[in-house]
Amino acid sequence: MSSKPKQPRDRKTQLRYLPIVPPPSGTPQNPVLRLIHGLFTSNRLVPVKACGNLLWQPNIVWIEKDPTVSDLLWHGGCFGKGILSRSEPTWWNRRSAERHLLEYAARLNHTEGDDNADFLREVERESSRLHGISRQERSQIAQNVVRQLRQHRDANNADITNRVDFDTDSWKVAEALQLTPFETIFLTWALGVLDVRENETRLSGKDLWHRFMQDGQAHGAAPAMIWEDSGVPRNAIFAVLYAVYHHYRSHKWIVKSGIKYGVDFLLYSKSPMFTHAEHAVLVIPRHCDSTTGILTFAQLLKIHRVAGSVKKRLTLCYVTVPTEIDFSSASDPKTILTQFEVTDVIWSRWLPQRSRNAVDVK
Amino acid sequence: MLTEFIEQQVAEATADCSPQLCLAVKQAFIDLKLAKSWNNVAVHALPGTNRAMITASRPDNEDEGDVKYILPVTTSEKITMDMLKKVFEATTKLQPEGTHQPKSIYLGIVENDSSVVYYRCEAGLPQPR
Repeated sequence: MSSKPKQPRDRKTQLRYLPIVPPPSGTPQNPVLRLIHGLFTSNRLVPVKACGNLLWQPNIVWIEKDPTVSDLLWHGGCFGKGILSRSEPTWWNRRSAERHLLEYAARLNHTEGDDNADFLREVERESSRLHGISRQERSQIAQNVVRQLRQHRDANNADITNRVDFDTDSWKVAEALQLTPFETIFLTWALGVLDVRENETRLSGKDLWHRFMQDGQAHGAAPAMIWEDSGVPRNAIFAVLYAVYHHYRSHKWIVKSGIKYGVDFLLYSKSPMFTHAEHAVLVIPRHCDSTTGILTFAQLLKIHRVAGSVKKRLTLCYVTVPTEIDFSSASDPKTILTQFEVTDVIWSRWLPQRSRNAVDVK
Repeated sequence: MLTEFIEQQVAEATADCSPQLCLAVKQAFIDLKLAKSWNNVAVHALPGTNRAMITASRPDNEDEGDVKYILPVTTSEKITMDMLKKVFEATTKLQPEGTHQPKSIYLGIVENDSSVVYYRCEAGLPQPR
């Protein structure tokens, strides 16, 4: 019998790398017995299947706000990003907090002569009692509230709360979770924990694969010449990038978009909420019998400088694509992906004078 | 509900845009309006280009006349000098009669995970501070 988690929940110990829950100890190994055991318990490998909507063209996938789904996808590997937040969808919590603090601060009846620092501290103290938002967000909201009230000092403070728009209950579930095409394929095709629908029609993992292959990315983050010279056709670029995503996810890394640092992916060993990314991955495609896929030193230096300045190890991920490969719409993703070869190389600067006495960097 | 709201606000201005740009405009629009809570966020078609421009003013700025111009851009686009020149010229047509070309615009670069990164683009060489 599994014990219930302690309250309040310790998020670090609850981190899972995939949105599946392994069966607890005590589950029989014999498949027949396990089936019978499964009928009498609620232990399922996949707690609940998430449901996403495919929207617009080029397609994006939004998952409507639902606490069980967010929990499954966000705490089970940090899939997705709230469309109105930096990571976890907390827009409604932030809005409610702002509204609450505005009302509280207005009631405090702060006048111009009083010490502003005290007022801010008072508002921040009240904000620390609010749940559902991070400490950083709390102090930011408190400062926003104080600034707004200062601007409306001459106006009647009672009107300030009316300035918070979109606060009716119908907007509570407005913020959806957006999945990147790579996350969508991984969750639908590879893991089978996500159902994607387009106007009530359910699309299979393979349908989505072909969709994203067609209107997927034009090229990765590496210089355009590298992608053009590699001979990878336009409709296969998505497959190459997905192969890398799948590769790192299979090795327990949490993979996020790296475009902000001029690379393809960022790798986190724990959740993005707790740590910074350790590796910046740049995907370099190459044909197996050619000498393409060579970055010049100038290009490498530029990319490494950006990644290095934010303390990330630059990882060059070479994907070797066989020349005879069928990327047409009849092809199977598994057949395509198993033909790729993925090799990673870490590029980091070595200073001989520093390493002389120090232990080798792992 | 949110999708209808976005489409309603953005449909007219993005009628001539490519699908990728249209998506970028939608994502930049909701980022500015809802996430960053900027004021008076509106989308306009840029005349002479197949693009749309977002105008908005900062949330902490009381001066409602100080409008910023944000150009939604996708990560797969090539930002050329020619394109930027056309955009700056077209933006002049968006402004009231007689005003000069805006000194700077913001490029809103939209990623496939819905993050929008903003970069300021100034026409010409700014004075040293």
